[in-house]
Amino acid sequence: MFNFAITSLGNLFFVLSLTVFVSLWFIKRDNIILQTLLLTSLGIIFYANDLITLFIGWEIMSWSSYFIISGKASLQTSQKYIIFNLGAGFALLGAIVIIYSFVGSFLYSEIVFNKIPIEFRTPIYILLLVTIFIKSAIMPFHYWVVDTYEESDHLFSVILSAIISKAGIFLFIVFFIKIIGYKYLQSNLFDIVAWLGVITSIVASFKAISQDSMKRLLAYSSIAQVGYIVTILAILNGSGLEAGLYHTIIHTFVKLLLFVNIASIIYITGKTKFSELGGLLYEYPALFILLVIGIIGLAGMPPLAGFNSKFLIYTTLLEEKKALLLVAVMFSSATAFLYCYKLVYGIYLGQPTHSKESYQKLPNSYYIAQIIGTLILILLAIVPSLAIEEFNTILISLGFKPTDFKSLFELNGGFASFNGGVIMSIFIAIFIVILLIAYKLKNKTRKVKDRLDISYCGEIPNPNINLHYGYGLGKELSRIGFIRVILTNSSKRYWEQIRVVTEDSSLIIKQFYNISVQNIGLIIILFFTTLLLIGVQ
Amino acid sequence: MSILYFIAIPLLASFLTLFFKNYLRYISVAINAILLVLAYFIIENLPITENLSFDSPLAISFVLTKGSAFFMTLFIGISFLFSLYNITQNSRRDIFILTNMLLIGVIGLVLSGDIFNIYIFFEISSITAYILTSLNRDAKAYNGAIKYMIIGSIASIFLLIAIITIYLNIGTLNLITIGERFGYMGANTQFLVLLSLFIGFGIKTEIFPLNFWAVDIYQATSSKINTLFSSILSKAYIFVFFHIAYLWNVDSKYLLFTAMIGVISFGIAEVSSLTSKDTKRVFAYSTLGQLGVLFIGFSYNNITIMTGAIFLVFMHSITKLMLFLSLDILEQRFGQSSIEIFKQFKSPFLIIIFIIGFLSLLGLPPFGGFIAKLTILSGLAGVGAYIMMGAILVISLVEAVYLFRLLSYTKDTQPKVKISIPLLQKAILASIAFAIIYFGIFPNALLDISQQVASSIIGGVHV
Repeated sequence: MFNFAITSLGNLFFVLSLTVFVSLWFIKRDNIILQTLLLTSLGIIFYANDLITLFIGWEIMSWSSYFIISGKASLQTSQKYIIFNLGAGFALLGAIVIIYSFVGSFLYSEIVFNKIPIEFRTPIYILLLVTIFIKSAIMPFHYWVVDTYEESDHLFSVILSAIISKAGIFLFIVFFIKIIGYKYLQSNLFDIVAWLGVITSIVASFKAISQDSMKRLLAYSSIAQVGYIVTILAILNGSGLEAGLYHTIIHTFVKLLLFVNIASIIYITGKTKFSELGGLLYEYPALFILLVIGIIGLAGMPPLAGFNSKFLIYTTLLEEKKALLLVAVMFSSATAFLYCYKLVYGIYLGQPTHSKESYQKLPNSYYIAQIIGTLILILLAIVPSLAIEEFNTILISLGFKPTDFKSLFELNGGFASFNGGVIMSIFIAIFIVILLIAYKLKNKTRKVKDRLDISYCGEIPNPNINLHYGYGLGKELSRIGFIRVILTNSSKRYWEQIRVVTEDSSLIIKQFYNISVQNIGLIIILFFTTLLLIGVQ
Repeated sequence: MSILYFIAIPLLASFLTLFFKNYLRYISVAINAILLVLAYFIIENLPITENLSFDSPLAISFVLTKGSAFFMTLFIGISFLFSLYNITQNSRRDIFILTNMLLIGVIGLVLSGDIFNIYIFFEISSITAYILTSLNRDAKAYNGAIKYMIIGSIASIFLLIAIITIYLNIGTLNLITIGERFGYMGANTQFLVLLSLFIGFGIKTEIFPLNFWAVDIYQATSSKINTLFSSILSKAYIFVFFHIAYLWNVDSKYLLFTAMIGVISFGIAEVSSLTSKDTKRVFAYSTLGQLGVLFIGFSYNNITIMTGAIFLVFMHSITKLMLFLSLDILEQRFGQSSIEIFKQFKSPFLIIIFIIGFLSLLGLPPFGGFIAKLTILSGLAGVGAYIMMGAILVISLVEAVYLFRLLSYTKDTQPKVKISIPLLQKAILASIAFAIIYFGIFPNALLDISQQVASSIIGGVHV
């Protein structure tokens, strides 16, 4: 029953997961057995060679992560998590079984998609897309994500965001490229998928800005980033796949870095909200620098590796002449700057709004995880084609043309390319110059002793006013019409409606099982009579 | 070796135990063990037919095919584990006698080769079930027992109507002969016979809309007894009902109807369970739901679906045995069975048992229930019943809601009551849990058996 094959695609995803797990390995945490089971299930998914093995891994992943989450999260959140993820699993099972009924085999290599009649293809695509959308949190199936990320263990959020959301991406590649093959896909359906991905990322970016909880912000940011990946994969060509894989790697390590950074702050201060934090720069400069590196990666700015994947995404969209999509992606990326700013300002800059007495000492293991993420981001920034070399083997194994590159330092995006090593050296040079100037100017600055020692539009602030800018960031956005629509609406009401309707019907139907014996007898006789009257010719 | 031993031995033992009251429990377990050994040896030379020398129509014939042998062995096995579980407890003595009687009833049901015998064993098992229901000796139990008896007698009446109609029209009660002459009856008479059979067995197999009595019965009795209802009794009725249907080569419309009833039953039961506040009711609804799935599985004249259904019979029987016995431990400790007890007990062992049981019920890998569900679903897709397949998947999701809610309750931070479980009971529960995982990972041997059983049921009595 179990068939495994070691493929370059599986290797990539498994090494990513393994790196994240190893980075977190030094930090003391609970549920080691369940987390090992989770990692095993990921291994089963990534190295599976038949649909049933894949499904087994998929479901073990769902329930093992559920047991980890339900240890911390509220009943409602963990219920939401398991119902959505089992829904994804059952949709996957439905697709697998339909494919099997026509092909007669579960093995990847024996699935000839030609054998499936055309009218059954779209249902299969839709079932698979539902699975992928739920796992990768594409709207409107993202309802479970934010609460789950917020309420689960701070370090488990890392795994949820960095790895488990990528399982959906893996499934996309395995099914739509490896098993089915791009040539069978209808571009109409996948145009919609691409747009869903980018709309998800725009909406989630705006939602992220308006959050006061750090983990909710990162959760929305995660939704937005995975949205790009789905968009670019739905372009359905080799360079789209390459850009998607690149962004997968970047997002994994950026989220590893950022979530561990947030977890460190929560560990130190015990606070989870921006409005309760601020001014931590002076106490924890190292954490500040790590966070800045993380958000540079997240926003996709040079010189860090986040730019590489954004670059590939843009060039792919340009090449395919998807101008509108490109504008939407760029718009969403620009929005990402805003919430990145909130992360820096809300936590590290501004005036401190809290007392420092109850601070915990941060174990060094928290730094190790962040440094691993940082090193990879920097490494990929200097030698961007290191990843491309790996992707080329994947591209070849999936039947695409590999990308050429002149040297490892150069990233080739089709009609444009750049040299990561050069950019990094220029950046470092400028950085050193600025640092020197800042050092020179240091003596001329005046240090603020009291947080109220400022003038504020001519008013003297009193101690009750929250002067911390990160506190109010995003509030003014709701004045803009379409952003207000995004911020005030939520898919919550629809999912809640489904829940309420099901529970109400349960209460009604349940009444039948409480009726008295004479009525049961009556129902039986009535049933018999009705059927008799219908059936007798 | 005669197959009559399987009825005669427990029957004799039941009388003998009246004289050895102190050793009753040991005798009971020993009898079950002996029957298991006998079953092991008799399986090699199947099929066997035996007639007791009466003239027709009263000829009593017993037929042991692969199908009936599988069900018989399953029932003996469950009864063995059940008695073994009870050995350490201060159980009342009558429970052992009644278990034996129930075993006689269900073995007779699956072995009988003529419909009048089926009626007799139908009554024996029913009457035992009524007494088992009233075993708690409180108002609730008596209320349940009387309810059960009234509804049960309605079922018997319908079965009797079917038998009388058949005998008046064809003049025989032997199942195979009826099958040969079934076409002699007029269309309306055939319809009346099948409908009466459906109502009679439908009540006993707890199928919507004939199952409104069932949940109350489950709640009225102790969890322990529910094991017998859920794992043994309903499975026997399902087997007999569909065995008859395939022997008589009934119209495919009839089977389509039972499949529809099955899926409605599954849906209604799972939705009802969502807001249930009592664990016994929750498990009862879950049983009704799974019986609905079995109805779907048995209704398609297709070897793959039937194989899955047989696999599900096995998995569901042992899973519900494990769950109801675990619930019994909790019920004895707390003296009640509301879902709140899931928030209050502290026992990692029981939690793992519940997790394995629930995940297997839901059909999640790597547990045995998954193989059953996968086989049924791929069979359904194979015959093009995509809507049925989708319905099963969606309704399973509803089932997940309440089962995972129960699991979430165990994480509650209320003050906990520690549960200690005797070693023998722990071993029984653990071995069942092991079996569930084992057959989930290495299903091939059981799948092979299930396939033989399935082809025996579909292909008629001599295969």
